Amino acid sequence: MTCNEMESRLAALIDGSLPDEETGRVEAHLRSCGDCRKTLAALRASDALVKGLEDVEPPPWLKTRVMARVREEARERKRVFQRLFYPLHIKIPIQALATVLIAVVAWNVYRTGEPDFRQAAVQESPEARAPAPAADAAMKAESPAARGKKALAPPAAREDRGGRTVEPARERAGDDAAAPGRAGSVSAPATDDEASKGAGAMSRPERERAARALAPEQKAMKAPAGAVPKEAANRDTAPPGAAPMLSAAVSHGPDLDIAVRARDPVSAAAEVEALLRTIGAQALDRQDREGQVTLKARVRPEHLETLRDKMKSLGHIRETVQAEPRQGAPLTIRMEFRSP
Amino acid sequence: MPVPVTDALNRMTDDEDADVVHRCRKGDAEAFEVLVVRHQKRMLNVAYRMLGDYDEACDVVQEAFLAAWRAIRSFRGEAKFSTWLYGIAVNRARNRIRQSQGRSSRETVPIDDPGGPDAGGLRREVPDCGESADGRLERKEIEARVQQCIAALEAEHREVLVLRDIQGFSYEEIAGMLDLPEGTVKSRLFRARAVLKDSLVRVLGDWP
Repeated sequence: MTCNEMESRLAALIDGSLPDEETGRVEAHLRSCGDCRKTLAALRASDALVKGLEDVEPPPWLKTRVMARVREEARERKRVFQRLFYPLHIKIPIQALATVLIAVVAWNVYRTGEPDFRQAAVQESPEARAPAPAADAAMKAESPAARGKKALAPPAAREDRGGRTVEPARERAGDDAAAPGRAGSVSAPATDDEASKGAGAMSRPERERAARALAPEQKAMKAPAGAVPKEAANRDTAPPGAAPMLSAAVSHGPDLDIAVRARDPVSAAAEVEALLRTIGAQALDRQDREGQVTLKARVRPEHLETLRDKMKSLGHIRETVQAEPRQGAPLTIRMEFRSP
Repeated sequence: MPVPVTDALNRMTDDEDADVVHRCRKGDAEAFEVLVVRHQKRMLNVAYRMLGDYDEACDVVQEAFLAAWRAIRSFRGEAKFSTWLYGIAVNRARNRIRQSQGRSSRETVPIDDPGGPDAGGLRREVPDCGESADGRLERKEIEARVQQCIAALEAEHREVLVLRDIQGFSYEEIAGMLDLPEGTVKSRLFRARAVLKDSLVRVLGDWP
């Protein structure tokens, strides 16, 4: 082992870091080498000097400064934490309230707009504009009983449908394909819709619709003879009849509109008027205008078929269901007699 | 139980700082004071012996404590807390040395290895103590020269010498602080001792 190889081993030897197997060889070399003994002595003296260095004391302000910064940062951390989570206590209710408010407004807008949208869709559909003559022809082909069932579905059956009335309405729409009750069935979905909303307090849209439902009727009563196409158009664009619960409140509006095309409208009207008196119709009203006669009366449902048969014998008839009264309640019928 | 897990648990139970560190990790700033009081002196001495400047050493210790506080949540207890803490301090001190070396290399001639060809450099800065150091130099002066010799060591030699021979950390702890293999720590240390001894022989004259 050379003296150059010794130096690092001697540096290890002074703190006992030299492996045992090397210690013997190093000690053997030291016994024969004065320079290496001198080096070892210098290393031990150096080590003693280094270990003898006095420790310096930390200044008192060191801890104070460190802790001041640490506390400050801890507060900052808390503030950040609070900024992230504390506002929850205040904002969650506000946000929840805002969400609920938006939901309520959105629901109202939906409820208000939905019937109008549906109505608009119905008006746009080509079925709604089905030509009347074809409907009349089909009407003739059907038995009176079947017609009655379609034109005026029993209100009880409708109420039985509960909340969702889509299915039965579709069925009837299917039955009525190219049938005379088209106008009636067109208005039916909207009526069903209203019924499906429940029989709670009358909502604003319902009230508005009820008011609007009166308007075309009054207009029609005053309409001059020959204005039927226009009136029919009005009826198409007018809102559908009010819900059953409304029919009592709007007692002067007709539940059923029947247009009769007779060769002699005046005498046909006279015959029907006579029949109405016979069957004990109430609130009978007659208006004559330029060869066109309008009769209005309240009739028991059981007399409806008789009345319908009578009018059929006098000419072509076309029925439009405006509103559906409660089962067994008298129907308000308006009959228009005019030349074909 | 796997050996590494057992080792980690042993370290946790051996670590006297474990409880306080646990409180600090939960955000207890006051608990941190315990750690400051417990470690500030040794940290300051490590930094002081590495830097040779008391004020700078105080700055480094402050920075190291704050860095430790900010990162204490990331301390997972794989090593002793003190090993982690002193590692931060040594790293900060090393960065300071680099910065000051960068400055001095631009401004002045650097102090070379005292054992190197320009060994006279240190002699120029330190008054020649003559042949009888023990008798004529005050203890403070000897200490100042020893410190100068330490400061003349390369940074990687200096830090192992300070940690092992002055502060008495184990090789395992030093390896943990410096993130080096123990063998590297030892070889650096033995080289540092030899260089320091040569430097002291020159500075202190007829010595030992």
